[in-house]
Amino acid sequence: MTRRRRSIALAATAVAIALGATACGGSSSTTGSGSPTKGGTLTVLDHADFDHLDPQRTYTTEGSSMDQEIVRTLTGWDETGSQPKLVGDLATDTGTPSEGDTVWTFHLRKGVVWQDGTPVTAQDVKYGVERTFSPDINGGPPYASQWLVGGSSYKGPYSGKELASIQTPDASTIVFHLGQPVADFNETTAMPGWSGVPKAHDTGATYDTHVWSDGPYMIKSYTKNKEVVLVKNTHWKQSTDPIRQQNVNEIDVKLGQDQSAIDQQIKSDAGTAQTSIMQWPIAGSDLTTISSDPSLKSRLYKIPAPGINYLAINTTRVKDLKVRQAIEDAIDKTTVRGAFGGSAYGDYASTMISPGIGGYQKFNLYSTNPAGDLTKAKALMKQAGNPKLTMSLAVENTPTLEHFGDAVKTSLGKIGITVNITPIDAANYFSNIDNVKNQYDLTWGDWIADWPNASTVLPVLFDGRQIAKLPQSNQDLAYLNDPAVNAQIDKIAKMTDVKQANAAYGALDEQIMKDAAVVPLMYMNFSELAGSKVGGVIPDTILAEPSLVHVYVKS
Amino acid sequence: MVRYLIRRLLAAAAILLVITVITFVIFFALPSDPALLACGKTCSPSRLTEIKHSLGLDKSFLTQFWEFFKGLFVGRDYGDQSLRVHCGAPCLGISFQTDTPVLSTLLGDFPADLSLGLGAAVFFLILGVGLGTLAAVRRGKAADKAAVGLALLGVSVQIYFVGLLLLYLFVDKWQILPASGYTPITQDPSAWFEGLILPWATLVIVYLALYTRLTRSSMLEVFAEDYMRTARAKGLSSGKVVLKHGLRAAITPILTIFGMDVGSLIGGSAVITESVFGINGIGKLAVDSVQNSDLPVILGTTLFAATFVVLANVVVDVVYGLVDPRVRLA
Repeated sequence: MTRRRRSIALAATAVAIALGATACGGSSSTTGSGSPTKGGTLTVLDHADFDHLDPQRTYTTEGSSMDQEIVRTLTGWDETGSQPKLVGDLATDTGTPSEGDTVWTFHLRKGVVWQDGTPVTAQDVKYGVERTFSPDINGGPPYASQWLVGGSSYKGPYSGKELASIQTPDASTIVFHLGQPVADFNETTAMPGWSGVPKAHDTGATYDTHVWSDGPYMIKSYTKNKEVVLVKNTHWKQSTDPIRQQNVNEIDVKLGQDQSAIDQQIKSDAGTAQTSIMQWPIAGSDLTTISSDPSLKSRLYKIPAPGINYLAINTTRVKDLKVRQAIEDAIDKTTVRGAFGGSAYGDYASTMISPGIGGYQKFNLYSTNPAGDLTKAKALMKQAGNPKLTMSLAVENTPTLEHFGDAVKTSLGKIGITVNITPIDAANYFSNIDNVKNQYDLTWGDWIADWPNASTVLPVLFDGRQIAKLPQSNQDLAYLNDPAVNAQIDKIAKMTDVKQANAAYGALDEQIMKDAAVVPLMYMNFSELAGSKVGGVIPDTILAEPSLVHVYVKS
Repeated sequence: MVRYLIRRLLAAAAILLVITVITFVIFFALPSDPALLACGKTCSPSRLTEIKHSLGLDKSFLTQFWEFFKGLFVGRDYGDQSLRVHCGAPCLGISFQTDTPVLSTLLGDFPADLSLGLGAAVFFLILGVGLGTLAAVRRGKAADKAAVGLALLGVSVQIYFVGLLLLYLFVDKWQILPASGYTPITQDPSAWFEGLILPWATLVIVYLALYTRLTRSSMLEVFAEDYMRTARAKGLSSGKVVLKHGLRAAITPILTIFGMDVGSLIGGSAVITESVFGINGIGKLAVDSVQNSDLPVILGTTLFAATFVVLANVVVDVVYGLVDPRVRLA
């Protein structure tokens, strides 16, 4: 999953420095536990509109998080405990697999209704999932079309056809027939796309602004790029919902203000800022100031993301393993992290699976010092014959990523590798580097797991067969096409025991790191700030967002 | 006069047509693919082909241009099967990104730009010409130096700096003004005014400099003219000399620049101000559309802004004749 990055990077650093010097610290907040207050309006300040709120189209963390207020999915995550727990949401439980995890059955809860009071049926869910296949309902994750039998040729319900591999024997039972075993399919079904859409209220490509609600809030108005107003769905019943609450009367999402201005406003805690929260992370240039201010601590949410920030080495261009190993040891992760905002941004990484994701195993094959091990790196370069190398590095054309580029250039310069930095327009960055025709030796990348399992990390990032299959959206930025890795990916996919699969993923992570195809840099955190009167925010470590499912405003 | 106007308007239409063609050509030369952006993170070639078809991007350049052009006059239909939607004339297309008609988005954003641009323009014109005249009359004196110094300061600082600084001082620190945002005048006139004070101030600070300096130099040039000496020799009051004889002649070049500034401001060029103050205007729409390869919105915003610049120029030319009797319209 992606978190879309800021598109207009105003040169805010200078301003942040100028204003930081006079930072006011008058927060008298007493955030924390306490019983939720009912009523009031929560303001959400986002610098850009959602990619989509149509549940079948959203594929960003902000969109998915806001959708939790509006739509209910088959399964969901209860994050009130110390660990996220998968629970049935629309479904009574987390689903029943059969026939070696290729058939998954869900029973729907009684009493869950739409915003007009009509019951949510299995047919609504089937129709909702079928929508993802239509080219007009684009943008969402690929899992339905990858896994459901007959999915590759189905074109969606608007042609009048149904997908036979989704069966609804009665109004409260839905059965999915998959073309391959998927042991963690019930974690996929916690993504927004696995929700119902009543055919009568489907407005097709414009459903973003007309999402029909079965959650605690429904859309009152939505002006694209400006404002979304959510009000209480009076038909929603707390007794049917194990995840959400309905505390505030209204959620007012204001879109389009510059991120630095949002940071400044919520930090000031003046007026409506007291009842405001942001969904996008604090700007890199404001992060150090805000995260080190003790008066803001109680309303700062530093959320560990199930994701990884990394440097990929194109293994088809940098063929010598010794050179790649030298790069692993030479990179100074301290300066790299500095570019992203320092320690608040996250811990140094040495694995591709991050802590908090099933399959994570702690190991480090390269320099234990985050600043790198130049002696070892130089020795490896010597073994490779001290080649005079020039490498191209692709980064986004944002100040943060350009600083990152400089840090890499300095590190590799020390072992005799000249780095040429190519900044690419941020909005087109991924479509550029995901195209297999790209000519870069090194690329920057980040990845957030779609659900907390290594199955949405390693196969996505290292299955070399996608290079041929998805020439325009290849996620294997290292171009690693190691038959041993591919075979292991297939083998693990067939494992029905999650524990066994996790152990195998951990070993696979290590195997991939031996190829020195990627340099894991940081396990990302995303930091967001809320006003002093915002309570009940749950750090959602699945989406790396401040979850609003229990949010309330203090009177 | 009427013939002159018709001729100017026809020329304006021709310019807009050329701009449309150029925008289309540039868009097709761009390396980015809107279908790929719409498709999402993991996109198979077959899915990409379907989305290309659904967005109409599989058609030839000429067909796409013709459909757009025709849509301007007779409207057009979008989508297949049960999803068919009609976009009535003048149809500027439907956004790839938001699936909403471009024209309604533009019209929705326009009041914000009109309020922001026109309001700021009134202030910076009056203040700029006033300060410039003062500086010219008191040439070399303290008032001149102060006005020129102030102008220099204004032209040196950047909009995002002034904007964020004003926001910090007036909203966050002193809390004199409400948190920013645009409220339509029809909804609440006082909130409209309060919300626009800082954005106006920001634009005025930055634009004021230009008008002060321009007025000053233009006035000084006019002061050196023979007829000014004659006017003074006739015994006219110095106020009359400066304002009636001096300013009236000096203002023509200022009006030229003013026309273009106002045209582009209400056409959406105040994008940084919009962004800092959370005013969702056409400027921000234009920048976002370019980054998202959203052709219908790129075309719409370009045409919209161009229309205002072109129209503002026509208006300025007409006003010339009224202000300066030396300019006669054929």
